Amino acid sequence: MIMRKKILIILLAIFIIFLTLEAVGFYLAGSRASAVSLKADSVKNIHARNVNLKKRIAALSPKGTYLVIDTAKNRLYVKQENNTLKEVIVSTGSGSILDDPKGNRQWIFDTPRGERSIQVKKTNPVWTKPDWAFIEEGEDVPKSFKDRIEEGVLGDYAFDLGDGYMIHGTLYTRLLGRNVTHGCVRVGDKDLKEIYNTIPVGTKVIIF
Amino acid sequence: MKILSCTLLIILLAVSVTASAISEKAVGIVNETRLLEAELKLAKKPIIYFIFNLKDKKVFLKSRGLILKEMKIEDLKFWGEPVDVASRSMLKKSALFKEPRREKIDPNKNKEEEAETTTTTTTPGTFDIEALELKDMPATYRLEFEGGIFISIGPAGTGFFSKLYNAGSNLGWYISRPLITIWNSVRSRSYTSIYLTLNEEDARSIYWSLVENSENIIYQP
Repeated sequence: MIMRKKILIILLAIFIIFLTLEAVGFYLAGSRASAVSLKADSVKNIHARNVNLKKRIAALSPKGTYLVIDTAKNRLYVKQENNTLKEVIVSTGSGSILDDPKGNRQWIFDTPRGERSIQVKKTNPVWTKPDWAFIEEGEDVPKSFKDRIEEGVLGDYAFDLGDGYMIHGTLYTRLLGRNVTHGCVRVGDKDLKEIYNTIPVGTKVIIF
Repeated sequence: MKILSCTLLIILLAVSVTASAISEKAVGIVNETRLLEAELKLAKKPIIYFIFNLKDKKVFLKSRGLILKEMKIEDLKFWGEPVDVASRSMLKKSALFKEPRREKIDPNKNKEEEAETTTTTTTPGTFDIEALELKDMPATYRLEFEGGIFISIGPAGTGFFSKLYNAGSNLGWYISRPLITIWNSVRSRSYTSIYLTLNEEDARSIYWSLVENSENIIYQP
């Protein structure tokens, strides 16, 4: 009986301590809330600054036609201001990792997020295979440059985005809509031809 | 005399209500201006960034000021110190259950497969790929921002068990926050915890696009 009473008292004490801690926590969290205070500037000045900032941000957005690539949905959108002119199914980076068994190099096959621009437009592009393309296939990396050249695998057209990344055609049309590439954006040849004919060099490409 | 007193009282009330409305509007403009100042810094860079707009209950994915994606926050809980409008680094994202893992390419396996594909064919659309896709992303996870700010994201539950889990999670959230606040106060660290409920695909999309050490904005006016 005395034992039970003791246990009850201990439980009650723990409960009271817990409630006290909760109350202190609530008080601490609430006490740090602060109201937003107005600056010394007049409301008129703030309003003018607000309008100016909106204009400055709007001025940063791409002018004319631009491309937006959604790597999660594997979609490419041709856009002008806020209007979508065309939507295309593409393939983007697989996110896989490749280690070089002979060295300390590692490649992560992500399509890079952020803003890029089309640096060069190419017809009948030729692929200069990088080291990872040989290592991935378990082959030795060739010493001669001409052994790296492969024709026909990039489709009929390509846009160079810099750093080895391209938007290009594909032989593997059944993989469109999936994340399978080494970072490039693959597009079906028919869609790519249409985009190629409308998009100039310098076009902004936003990838997310 | 009574009529005069009543008129004066009405005028006083009208003036105070108008003054309060003007003041609220002014505070609103100040807050929005701070948001724009923070956004301008990010919009100048060739990056993508998120704005967690707790006022409008929306998450925006933007670049150069353009809205790339707009996601609705279905429910929102806030705990702790107010968050200043500024660009903040997202330091770490951690999934509650299972972190997505990148596939490692095995060159020897590729060589074997190449030999096999000369004799076998695959039906289009019926294949699995070794890659990270949106469906592999977690829908329940936590984002840690600099300045002791934590945003937990979870999907809106529809079934009985989801609702039960959410109810338990809510209870746990309110019980644990005060204790964590005390623990951080003892260590002289600031602490803010935000819980956002989004639809499942949006929750996965944020995990997909939000990169560690990227700069983003939390707008809590």
